[in-house]
Amino acid sequence: MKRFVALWLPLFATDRLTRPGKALAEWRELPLATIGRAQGGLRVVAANGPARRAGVAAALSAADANALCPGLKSVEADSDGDGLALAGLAEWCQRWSPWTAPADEGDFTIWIEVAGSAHLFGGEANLLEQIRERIGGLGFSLRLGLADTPGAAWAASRFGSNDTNLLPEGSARQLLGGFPVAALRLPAATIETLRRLGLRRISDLLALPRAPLAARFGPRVALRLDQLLGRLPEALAPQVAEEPLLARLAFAEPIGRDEDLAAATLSLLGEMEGLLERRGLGARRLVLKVFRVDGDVLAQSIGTQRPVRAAPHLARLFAEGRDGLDAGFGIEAMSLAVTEADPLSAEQSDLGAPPRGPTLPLLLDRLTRRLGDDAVFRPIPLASHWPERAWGRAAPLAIISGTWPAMPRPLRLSRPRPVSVTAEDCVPQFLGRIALPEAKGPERLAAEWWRGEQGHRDYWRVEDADGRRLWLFQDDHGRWFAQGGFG
Amino acid sequence: MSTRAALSLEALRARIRALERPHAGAAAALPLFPVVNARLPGGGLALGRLHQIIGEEESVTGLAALIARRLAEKLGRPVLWLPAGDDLYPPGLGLAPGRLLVAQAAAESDRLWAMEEALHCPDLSLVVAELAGLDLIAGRRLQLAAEAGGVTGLALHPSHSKAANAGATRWRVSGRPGGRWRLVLERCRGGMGGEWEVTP
Repeated sequence: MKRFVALWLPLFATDRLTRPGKALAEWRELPLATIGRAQGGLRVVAANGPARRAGVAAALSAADANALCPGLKSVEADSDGDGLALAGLAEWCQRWSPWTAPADEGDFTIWIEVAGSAHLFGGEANLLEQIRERIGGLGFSLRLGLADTPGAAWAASRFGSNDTNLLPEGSARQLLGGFPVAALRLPAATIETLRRLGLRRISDLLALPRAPLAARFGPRVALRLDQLLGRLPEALAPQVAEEPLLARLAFAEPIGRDEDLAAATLSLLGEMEGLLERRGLGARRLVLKVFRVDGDVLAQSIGTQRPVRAAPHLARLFAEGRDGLDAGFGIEAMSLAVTEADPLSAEQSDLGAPPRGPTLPLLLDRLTRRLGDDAVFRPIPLASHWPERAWGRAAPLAIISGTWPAMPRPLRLSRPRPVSVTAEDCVPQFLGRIALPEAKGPERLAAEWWRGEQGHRDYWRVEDADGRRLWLFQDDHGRWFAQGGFG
Repeated sequence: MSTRAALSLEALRARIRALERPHAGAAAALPLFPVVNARLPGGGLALGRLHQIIGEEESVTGLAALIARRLAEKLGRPVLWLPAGDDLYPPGLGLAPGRLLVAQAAAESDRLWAMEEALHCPDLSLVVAELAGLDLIAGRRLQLAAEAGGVTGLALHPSHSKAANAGATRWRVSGRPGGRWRLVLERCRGGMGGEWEVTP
């Protein structure tokens, strides 16, 4: 049995702009509306409480809204920004459960699946109370529903008689029957049709035979009824996969000191070590999230070259990054998730504490963590004619094949730099005024016609009287360039 | 001096060596050039130690690449190179693909950190770091790391570098006509300096 909380944020589009700490915080108690282009003109998309009390409502034209409410502050509607902010808040809600999902665009609802976690918060009623307090404390208006299905919870949050509506297990059919058909999340046109036919309540629909219902109103009404009652599962896109490798920690008092953060991280990693060991897995990528008291969620991510469970090694990787976590006014909870894992047997796992020193994969993890993902690599031969493209970067532990060019190559290679060369029968004799007693070549390299290039380069290895050894080439226009040096 | 006194003096020296290098024992060495090896304690470049090479970039890179090739071959383990810029050209180093790992760090402090960490890792045969300078404390840390991990370290310095004498040996290398090198052993712990012309 699953249990879903539907967290409805009816004024999300304006609350997210005016909640404490945001740019428009001073408009919290003053009329504010978001305006967008619709039906051939500028119209209100969302209005906050003070604006609503003055009569401003969605779909009102901007001119009418200003006439009704002279002090109205208007800002441009930003549905993408709304969606991102809602997804961010859904992530923040993972403090109550690893499974949270924001609703589709325009519906400011977040579902939280709490069957497995409600007991951690003192039961469902206490959990709802805590959600109400915390989300309200962030500056959002909200209504809550808790029921067996996402649909029933949604209906309870919208049409329940209280701000917080707890529907006990198995009670949906009985309690929701009296709800209006709008509680089925149907398009406005369908609701209007049902209303004209006198089908006003969910119980009216439940009383009808199913086949004619689907034939008359399309599959959607029947589908929503089935989802409401749990006869059909509803596919929602949660923020994290089900049964994740996740460890969480909540603090009675917010923490902020680096030592406390480090200790909490190590504790989460220790718990994760156990989770991974039971499944015979090692982590390849981990995400550490901190939930700050101001509602922000910060994340740190680390990767490993080989599956790892050892908490001390992973703790060091988190600590050694340059993206330190700013505790702000304090951190009230942390979570650690393994987002990529590979099999790791028990025998392999003592990798973490070898007798003499760290093994190569562990060293590479730390170098990569501190220097950056692209900074640590294994050079590999590439099939290219031009020397500057003759090598590439592979992952440090990649198995690679191929060989380097057989002809001598310089130790250092720079961009081709124009030089003045005096040549005799095409053999370089002087570089500027420096004599070149030694010149070996030419080695002709042709352009890569498949890249749309033309011409060729004749490469020479030259040496001056002081023993300086350079790599020069002459292009097919007769120009000379220096490109590298030999030892 | 009696034989007995000479023996005890030799024993004393061995004890001092053991105290100085707790994990060292009789360290292995990598032969370099026939004319040079006789001058080096152990008959070559001491392994599991820090060595310094000073000179023009190309010559220094050339000598380091030669040591890297031979050491990777001898030990069958990869070399980690920590270049200061982005002009190191892997196709020219002569190391088989798969025997070379590169870690790029623009900041010298990051390269020092990476070198010290890497010297602790016995899966490597050699760690090469391009360092503008090296003070005594940092050099001592690297030396201790090399001894602890048994990994050889090469610090490459530009010719005008004021790097301290921090390694077991300190070489100055420059190009000579005919593809040769002039090699100056400026410092050699437990041995004598010298100057040679060699063909790589």
